[in-house]
Amino acid sequence: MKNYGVWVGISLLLFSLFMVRESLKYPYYGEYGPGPGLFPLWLSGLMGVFSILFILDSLRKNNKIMFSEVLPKGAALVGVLKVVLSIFLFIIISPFLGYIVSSIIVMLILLMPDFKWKISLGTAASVTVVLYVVFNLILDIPLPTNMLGW
Amino acid sequence: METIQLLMTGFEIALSWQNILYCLAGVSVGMIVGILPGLGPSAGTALLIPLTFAMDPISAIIMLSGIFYGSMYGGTITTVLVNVPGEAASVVTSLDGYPMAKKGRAGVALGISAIGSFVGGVVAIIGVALVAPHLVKFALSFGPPEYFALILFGMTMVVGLAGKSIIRGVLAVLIGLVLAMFGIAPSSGDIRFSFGQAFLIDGFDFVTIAMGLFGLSEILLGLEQQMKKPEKPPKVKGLFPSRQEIRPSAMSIGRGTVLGFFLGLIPGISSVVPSLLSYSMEKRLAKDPSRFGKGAIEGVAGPETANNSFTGGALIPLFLLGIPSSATMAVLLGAFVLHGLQPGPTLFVRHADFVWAVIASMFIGNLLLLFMNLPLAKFWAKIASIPFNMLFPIIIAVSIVGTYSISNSLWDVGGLLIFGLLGYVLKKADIPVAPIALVFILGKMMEESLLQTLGLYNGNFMEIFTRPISGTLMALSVLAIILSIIAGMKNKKALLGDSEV
Amino acid sequence: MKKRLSLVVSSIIMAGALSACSGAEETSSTASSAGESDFPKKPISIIVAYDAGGGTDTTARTLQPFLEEELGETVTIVNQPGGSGWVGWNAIAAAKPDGYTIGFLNSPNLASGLVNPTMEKQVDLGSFEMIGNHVVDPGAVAIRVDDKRFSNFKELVEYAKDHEVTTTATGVAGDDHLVTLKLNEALGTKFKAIQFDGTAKSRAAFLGGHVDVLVTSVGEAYPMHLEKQLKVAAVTAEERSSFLPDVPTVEEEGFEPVISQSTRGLVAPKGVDEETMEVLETAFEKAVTNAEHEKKMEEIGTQVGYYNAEDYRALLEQDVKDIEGLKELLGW
Repeated sequence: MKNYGVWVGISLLLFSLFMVRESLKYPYYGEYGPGPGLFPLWLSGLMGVFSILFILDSLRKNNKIMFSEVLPKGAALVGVLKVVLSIFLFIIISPFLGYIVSSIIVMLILLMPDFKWKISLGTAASVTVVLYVVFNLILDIPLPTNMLGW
Repeated sequence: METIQLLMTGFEIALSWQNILYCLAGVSVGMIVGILPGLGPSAGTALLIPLTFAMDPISAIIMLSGIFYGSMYGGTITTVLVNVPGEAASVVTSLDGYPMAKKGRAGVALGISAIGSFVGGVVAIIGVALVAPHLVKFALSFGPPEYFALILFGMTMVVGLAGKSIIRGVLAVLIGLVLAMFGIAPSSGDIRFSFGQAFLIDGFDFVTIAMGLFGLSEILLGLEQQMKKPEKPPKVKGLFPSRQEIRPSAMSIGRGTVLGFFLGLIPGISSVVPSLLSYSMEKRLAKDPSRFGKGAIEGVAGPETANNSFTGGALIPLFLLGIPSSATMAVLLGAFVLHGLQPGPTLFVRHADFVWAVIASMFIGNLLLLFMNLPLAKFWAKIASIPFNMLFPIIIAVSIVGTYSISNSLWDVGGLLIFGLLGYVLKKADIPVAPIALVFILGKMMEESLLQTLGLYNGNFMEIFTRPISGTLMALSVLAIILSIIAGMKNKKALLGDSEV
Repeated sequence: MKKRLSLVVSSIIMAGALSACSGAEETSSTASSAGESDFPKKPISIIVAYDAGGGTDTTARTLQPFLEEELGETVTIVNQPGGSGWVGWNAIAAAKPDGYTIGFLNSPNLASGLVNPTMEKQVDLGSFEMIGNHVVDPGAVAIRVDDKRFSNFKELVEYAKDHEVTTTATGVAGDDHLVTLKLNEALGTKFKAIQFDGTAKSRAAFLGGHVDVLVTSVGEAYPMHLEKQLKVAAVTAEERSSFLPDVPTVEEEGFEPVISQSTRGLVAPKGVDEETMEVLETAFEKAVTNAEHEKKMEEIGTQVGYYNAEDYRALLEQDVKDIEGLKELLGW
């Protein structure tokens, strides 16, 4: 199967089926009509129905979206993966390395291939410091810290 | 004429050097708060409240309300230039503002929204000064059935707005509604779909969803386009609309002002609704609605005006009843109380100097913002002339710290990533993501008001149809559904024609 | 060569670890041998489970300078909102029990979460060491000034015994919802609570005549009562509120006493040693009962209600027991 639309539809269908199953855990009727389970059940059920309609729609000749058309290739794929992984990396390392180091690392990963390392480091460091000053020092938001307190 | 006299006294206070400075500081910070994604007007205003502890109440409120309406202006800039709505009300602006920027008309989009915001803001404040005492009863007559009908009406607009393919539009709406079901169920208090995680007890945060669906997914898509063919950053050329656009944009601004002002009177409405309603109104009134979503100037002028005149109109229930119309108004209300000024009918009497000084400061603040936005639009737009591969790491760094600041938690950063990927995958499948975010807000309110109605009238759903205001709104909703189905049928042929080209 | 290098590195690490261990031992031994704690030696963080600018945040920040004065150390407020408070409360319970991370609990919100069967909770009251209670806000039952059916609490109750009367609530088993349930239980009234998302919405529905009775807290209600936008008919407290000296308690109106109030108190995670707790408790008591602090709190319309650690724990336990008793009415 190389039809992208169909796979998106199937994923949405699986999600809605999961939500239908979860919705059944809550009472369907409440004191005055709909209970906490009614809306989620109907909405996820309808979402499943429309996911199926979407799958059928995607099979039609004119609406076919193939993986080959939408899947990023080469440099684009690397770029997309880098963004996703760098945010993930931030979530993992920031509790240990603190905000400043983690943010600089994330920005360096994203900047390095396109710019000289001096420009990359300069940008990463200055943006991070500005954000740190605005959010942590001015707005008083406790950003993740390392053992040394920053 | 007593009003004018009181207003003059207000200006006397607001025009003191100290207060002008606080006003300037407020609107500048507001611009920045609006531009920074993830730090909407509510969070921005709330976080700066502690800064005002030591200030005298009038100056404090002047500065805080400056942050609030300043962020409304600022939110537009990133929306238009990089399609990252800095605050919820700007989501609608992204529908046409960003396409305008892509067409090289970023300057015009920014210019018209600054002018619209100014007109909307100032006219609404004049309205507040003149009619405040006369409109309260109408706003109070909105009970749960009216809320339900109004939200349903808004929801039909969202489906109508999704257009393109009805299956995809409805699917997007349903995704938004299912996401809205996470969290504490109204009326029963059941915690739905928390899977034992504390951060899921309240459900998803709107800002995370908006930043993921609009911000991050757009960056991911932008990365690919850039690899394929280098995209030119939008240049800010000329701030004023072309000659043939002046009339329609002036009309949109006029309509947006009136609409936003009156919606501001309805307690509990979010600031998204005026923009949304204004957009669909403009789309329906336009001779050629197909231009919408592709850079129609009315689609920027109307909603931007409406959301600023909304903030003006919202001052009426806030001042007179202490009832905030939106989340940001609630934060402002908190600031009032903090400084010993409990809004209520007697506020106009007991603290007349305060009320009128704040109103006067809003004239001054809007004027400052107009100057900051019109001649300096190019300065703000510089953000967009930074090359994309330099800009996107900065946006990601800001988004990370912004989502983190929502509840000082890395879970929200994870949410940013998940919703970013969701938006990326869905956009590639031609499923629109704007309805997901809009419906997410409306969905919760709708379930709540329906359950309230059923509770109030012993499970009698027909009450919604028999009450005059809600009945009218229900009729309008039905009408809107019929109209969008007819429009959808007509459009289908055109779309099929398009896809074969 | 390589081997030797790794040996050197590992021995350095070992030495570092050892010295860290001995260092830790040293400090703890000096603390216990001195008999008197040298706590605090570094800034203390107070977790507030709600947004900056909210009610708990405001009162916490009002207390902050007084607490700093007593402790002689910097005290910072850390907002950890989300999960209806549970993100913050879980964070307090999970914090390192060294006394440098403490936080505010809000009840009955906390208690109702503990009883709610759909809550997959990770903590209970045993997860906390109590320091003391800071704020008490009794429930207020308010009626419209132009209501023709009843004009005081007695008439309201008499009317509600025969007719269904709608009341506002802002969260299942929240402080205001509990007022309605407790009244029904004690007085046999037919009040029916309608849930609203926040007091702003419930107030609008009440003033617009959609809901009959506004149930809220004294802190929320008293400015509107003074402005005659509404009439607070009774307060659900043991005695009258200083903010509403003309409003009787339920008991004073000749009914069974109905007590329902929301409280905010300071706690530490379980496992903080006794000396540290003593320092915190003493400093907290002095800060809260400071006359200047009480005056500041009155200015922002909040009633100080100091309870010591023991009484505060009893109060929270009572809250949990109350809600468990109302389980059936809550449909749990």
